[in-house]
Parts: sequence; structure tokens; C-alpha cells
Amino acid sequence: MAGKKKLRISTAWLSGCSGCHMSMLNMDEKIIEIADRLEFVRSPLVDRKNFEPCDVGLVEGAVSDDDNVAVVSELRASCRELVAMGDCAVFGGMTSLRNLYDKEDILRCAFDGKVADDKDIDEHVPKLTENALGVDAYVRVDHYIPGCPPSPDSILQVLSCLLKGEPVVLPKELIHYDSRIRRRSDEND
Amino acid sequence: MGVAKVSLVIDGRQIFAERGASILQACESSGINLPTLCHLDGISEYGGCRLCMVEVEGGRRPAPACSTPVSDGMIIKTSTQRLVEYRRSILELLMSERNHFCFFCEKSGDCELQALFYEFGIDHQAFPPFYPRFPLDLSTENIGVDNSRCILCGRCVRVCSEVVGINSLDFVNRGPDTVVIEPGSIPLSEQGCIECGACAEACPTGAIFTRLDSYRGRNEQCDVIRTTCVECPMACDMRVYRRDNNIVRISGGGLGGRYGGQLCRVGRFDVPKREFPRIKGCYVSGRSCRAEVDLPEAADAAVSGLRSIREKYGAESIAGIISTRCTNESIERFRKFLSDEIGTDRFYVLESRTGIAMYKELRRIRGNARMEVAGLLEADTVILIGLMKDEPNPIISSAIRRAYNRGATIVSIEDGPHLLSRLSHLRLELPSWKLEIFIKVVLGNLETDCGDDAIVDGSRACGIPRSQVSALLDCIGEGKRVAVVAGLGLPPERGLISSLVEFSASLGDRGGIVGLLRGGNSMGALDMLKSVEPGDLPRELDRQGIRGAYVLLSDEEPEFCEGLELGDLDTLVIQASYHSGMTRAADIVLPSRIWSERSGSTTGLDGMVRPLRQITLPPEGMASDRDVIGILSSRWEGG
Repeated sequence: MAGKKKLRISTAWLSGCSGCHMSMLNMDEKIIEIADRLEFVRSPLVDRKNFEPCDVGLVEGAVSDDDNVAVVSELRASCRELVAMGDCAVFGGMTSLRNLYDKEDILRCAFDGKVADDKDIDEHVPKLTENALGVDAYVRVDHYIPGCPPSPDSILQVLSCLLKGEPVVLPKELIHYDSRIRRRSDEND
Repeated sequence: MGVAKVSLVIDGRQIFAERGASILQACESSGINLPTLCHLDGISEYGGCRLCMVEVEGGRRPAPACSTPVSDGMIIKTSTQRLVEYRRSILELLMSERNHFCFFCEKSGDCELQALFYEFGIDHQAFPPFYPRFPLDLSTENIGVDNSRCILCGRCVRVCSEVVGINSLDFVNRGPDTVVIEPGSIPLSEQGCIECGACAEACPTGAIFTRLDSYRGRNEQCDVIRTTCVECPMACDMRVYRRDNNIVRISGGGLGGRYGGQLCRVGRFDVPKREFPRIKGCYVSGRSCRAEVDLPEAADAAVSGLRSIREKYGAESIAGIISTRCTNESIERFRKFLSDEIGTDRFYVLESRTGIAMYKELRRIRGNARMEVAGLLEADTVILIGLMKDEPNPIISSAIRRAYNRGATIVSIEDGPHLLSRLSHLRLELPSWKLEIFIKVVLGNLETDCGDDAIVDGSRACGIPRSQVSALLDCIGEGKRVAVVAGLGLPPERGLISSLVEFSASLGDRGGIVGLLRGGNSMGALDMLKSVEPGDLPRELDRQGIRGAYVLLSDEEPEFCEGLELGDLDTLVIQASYHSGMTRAADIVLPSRIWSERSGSTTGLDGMVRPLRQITLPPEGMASDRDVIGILSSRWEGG
């Protein structure tokens, strides 16, 4: 593959726990095989925050406030293909638990009497959206990797497909919605 | 002559199926898998989930395989592109309709809906989710209902109605608001729920969950051990999920099995909650103190105590008292030690006096008086007699309720209300001391042709209106299948029980009696110990000439043991699992394994011997009940 153009990647971390980024790093030695063919344009991992045109955007976390909306819109505009990574980005995930309550109640419960100056909050803190939703409620998403976190293998599978320029296929056994359960059969392996 | 078969072609394969079978059954018997959610073996078909749709050649649209019967020459396709698309769409709609968030659901990993999502490779929500906010129903101690995870497959509704017979759950409201328990309305605890947990076992998602074992572990990660419940003589099948020497959860033997695979609240939830201070070693009480000793030393003390009683007062002054929770094997070893080696035949079984009398009468008459519990399901007349307020047990209650739901007449002859009083079409309130005369005068005279006299005499003797007596006699006379259910509230008088059993026998092929017992393995104990004192709980044995006793108490609850007052004995040997007032009063205390640590067999009310399998390991070094008795026995022989 020498001489081939590198795959330019931007990643974004919205309302999530960064577990998906961790899972990406958990590819262990397999990351070495693909590292020199990837270029991180923007990512919390490399501390570059400017949006530049790139091939693939990977997004972690639900869209939960107006800052998230701005980031995901810019990311969408800057990349050719957008991958929703993890349950939060795909379904809303843990963050979407708040959808079962009223937004104002949640804010009151968490912050009432604990924050000094309300005016500061209004000025500097992003406003919560009505519901915490998956990324595809705001922008078009090309590929989904569910999982909390998605297994390193499933992220590798998607990146490998994109590197090879093949259609992205996530086999059934790599799809899971929560952390993968260790089954008896696995333990015996 | 075999069952008529039809020939059909499924996915290009020629298949023979029984006439009347559904397409789904034909597929299953020939190894063709169809996705299903509302179908469950052992209950009726509902045809609601539409996942098992198949294409039948000549049909205008796909048909649900679960509720379409096979017919000769059918040509069926089960997995065309169109069907797969349909099924996928159904699943995508289900995923968005309610809150199917696997990442915080207890059922994730064991969920049938999730398994289908994976099977169809669904990696995102195709439709924006609704986030409905149905409140939880946590009104019962053991069962939680979260309507927001419900897919309205109706399995719980059908199980509750068809297997348990109680109809606590049913669909309420319409369209997207449909729920099985209406939030904010009457909670589950007030819908007559008996917390048997059958609905939770049937639920394919996390909508109905058991609160005790939530988040303890997935079924996938457990070993499953099939054993028998010893809490009552129904001896229900049990599947115990074990992980690392811990019991994670207990479920029934599987729908369609014996008693419909039911398990009651006690077997499913109360048993794993049971925790009392365990006796792990052996103790010998001296003049002033109590010392922990090793097993051989305790055995020596027990044997020498019992031996000196035999030498002074004779073998008959030693009593053997045995719990009804023991395995058949322990009972036999116990019998052998006391009867063959020590030489006493004074056995007490911790069963109620009425139960023992009923057992003996049924043995005496033998044969046609008895009715199996399954027979209740076919009964059109059920006579409940002498039931106590917490009787009958849930399994028998279910059978009677199912008979009632199908139109059987329920007659209750009672001293006070019991669990099925409100169900009864005819209630005869009769104090228990009048029961004997009632049975003799009314039931005893049925055969002879003096029906009218019986009504007049019975009514006069028992002080109940003639109309009620004649209504009862009409029920018995017209019933094609008459079942008598005798509770433990009957006075333990031999004459009364014998008349009742004789009446049941007189029904001939038309009916019989189900005589309830209290203990889990009472049948085994009564079968093996030939000479059982007609006892109830033994009391003040010293007044009956007994000077020493060996009590195999097993894992009876401490509270139950407090009721036993054996009186002033020279030597009291107790083998028990839990500390109680009784073990504190004992001279020698030996350890005993609890239900999950035993293996062997138990005998149910129907006389069938069923296996008990060991699930957890006993405390380190604890011998089995049988081996402990064996050590006593070897010291007795050796000395």
C-alpha cells in the first residue's frame, strides 16, 4: 500500500464518556498496522480542534446541547463520510436517559443551589437541547458502529473497509448494543 | 393407527406434518428456524408479532406461520427477500416505538428482542424514537413491570390466564398507549397477583422483570441445574441458575411441563432469599458449657448417650424425629440406624396430624379414591373441604382456577374463608366439629336411594339450609368429573377422614380426592417409615415415656423449630442446618446440609420419585446427612 494517499480522519467527542475513543486505542498492536495509513486531522486524541476537509469523520457521543449541534454540523460539512461511533452517537445512549424527564427538572436537580451566578451560566454554558439524541437526528450519517463501547474489532473493521475503499460492512457478530457480554463459550476459549 | 399426516413443501423440502399442526410447528420439527416473539410453547397462539410470516403459494398475502394450520399440498417459502424486508421493518418499528435501550436494561444478553435485532443486523434506529414515559409498577415485592420496554406480545397475559389462571395482567388502552398494567390505575399488587413470576419468565424483553435477581448475572453466564422444589409436596420442577457457587435465579421447569411448568412465589423468590445463621460444626453440651468438637467426638457423645438410654429404659424410649425436607436416601439411612440398629420404631414425621391421617386412609383404601392434581384440570365439579386460610397451595389453586375459568362448579365446605372462597359458586359454612356428621349423613348416604332424607337430616344436623344441601347433592350428582380437595384444616379424626375418603372412592371413575400434605417429602417419609406416630409436631415426649431423641431437622426454618417442645429428655441429638431455640437446647448438635447442597431424591404427592441435584458446595468439610448418620451408625456397631 506504500505511496497510497493516507486516509484523513477527524474525530469528535460530543456528550459521551470518551469510552469509544478509548476503545479505538484498544486495538492494541493492530493499530500499528493501520497507523501509518491514517492521518488525524482533528481529534481530541491529538489535540487539534480546527476543522479541515477530510475523508472520514468519526463521532462519539449524543447531541445534547447547542455546542454539540455546532460541532457535529461542522464535522459533517468537513468530511466525506460520517461514522457514528458508540451507542450515544447511534441511539442517544446513556445520555438519552434524561429524555425520560423534563429538561428543567434535570437541571434543577443537578445544579440548583450549587452554582454561584446564574448569569454566567446563561452566557458561557451551552444550552441543553430538548432531548439528547443520536447524531442522525441532526446530520446525515453514513455508517453506524453501535456498542457501549463498540469493540475495537468493530472500529477496526469499519476503518479497514474505508482504507480499502470497500463498502462498509459490519458483520452481525460485531454488532452489540452494550458492552459485549463474556459468555461461557468465550471463557472456555 | 397413527396420526393423520399431511405432506407439504417448505423452502423446497418435502415435509410431513400432523394434521392440525401449525406451519410453525411443521417448520420447527424439520429444523427450519422462523423468528418469533409472541409464540411460546405451552400457551395458545396469538399471531400478534407478525415475525413468523411466510408466503403460501396461492395466498394473496403472507400468512403468520404460528396461527395458520398446515394443509395437504401447501407450498411455503419462509425466507424470501420480501419476507426478510418485512421482518426487518417490524423490528425497526419495534425498536423505535418504546424505550429499548439495551445499555441500561437488565435483560440485555438474555433478551429475545435484542437477539433478533442482532440477527437482522440492525445497527441503528431507522425511525426517530418516541421516548414514552410509562411509570414503573413496583407495587409487588418481587415483580417489576416497565411498560416502556413492552412489545405487546401478550405472552404474560396468556400465561397469567392460561397457566396460572389468575388473569392479573391484561391489555389496557389502545394503540400506542396499550399497556399490560395501567400506570396510575390499579397496581399489580391489587390485581390478585400471587407473584409466581410466570409472566417474568415468559417475557421476551425486560418489560416484566424479577426484582430479586435483576443485575445478578445473565442466564448465558450460568450453569443450569434441573432439580425439584422441596418446599411442598407438589415437587415442582425447578431450573436453578448457578454462577460461582451462588444461586443467581430460579425458574420453573418450562412451560408445557408438569403443572404447566409453574413455580410459586415460595419456590422462585423466597427460597433464594432464605438466610439464617448456619450450623457449620458439631457441638456437645457439658454440665456448664457448650464446646465445638469434631464429628467423631460428637458422634461418640451421641452414641453413648443413646446407648445408656437403651440400656436403662429399653430401645422403645428412644424416638426418631425427621423433617419432611430430607431426601429419601437420608430418611432410609435414618430409619435403618434407628430401627435396625438401635431397635426403636417410634418415629415422628414433622407433618400435620391431618396429613398423616389422610395418607393412612388413602393407603388403606388404596387405588380409586385418589385423584392426581392434573385431574383437577378436567373436573367440572370441585368440592373444597377443610381448607385453611392460606390453602390450597398455588399450584393446586391454579388448577382449580383454570377449571373454574372453563366453567367448573366450585363448592366450598368451610369453617372460614380460604384463598378460593370468593371463587366458589356455593359456600357451606360449617364449623369443623360438625364436619364429621355432615360427611356421614350427607355424603355417606349418596349411594343409597334416600337422597331426600339425607337433605333433611343433613340440614337439621348441621344447621345449614336445605336448599344448600340439595344444591350440593345436585352438583355431586350431575358432575361428570368430581374432584374433592381436602385441606389440612380438617379435624384429624380418623372416622371423619375415613368417611371422606370412602365417599371419594364411591365416586368411582367419576372422581377422586386430592389430599393435601404440608411437607415437601412427607410422602417419602411416610412411605419409608412404616410406624409413624399420628403426630403433628411432637410435644412433651417425656410424658410418653421417651427419654432420648434423634432429630433430623435438616434445613427447617428456625421459626418453625421454635414450635417444637420435646420436653425434658436425657439425651437430645439434633442434626440441623440452622441455629434455633431447639438446637440451643440440644445436648449434641450435628450439622446438616441445606436444600441446595443435597443430592438424592424426593417423593411428590403423586407418589413419583424425583431427583434432587446438588447446586452449591456445602461449607468446607461438611459431610452429607447420610454420611453423618453413617458415622453414628458405625460407632454404634463398633461400641
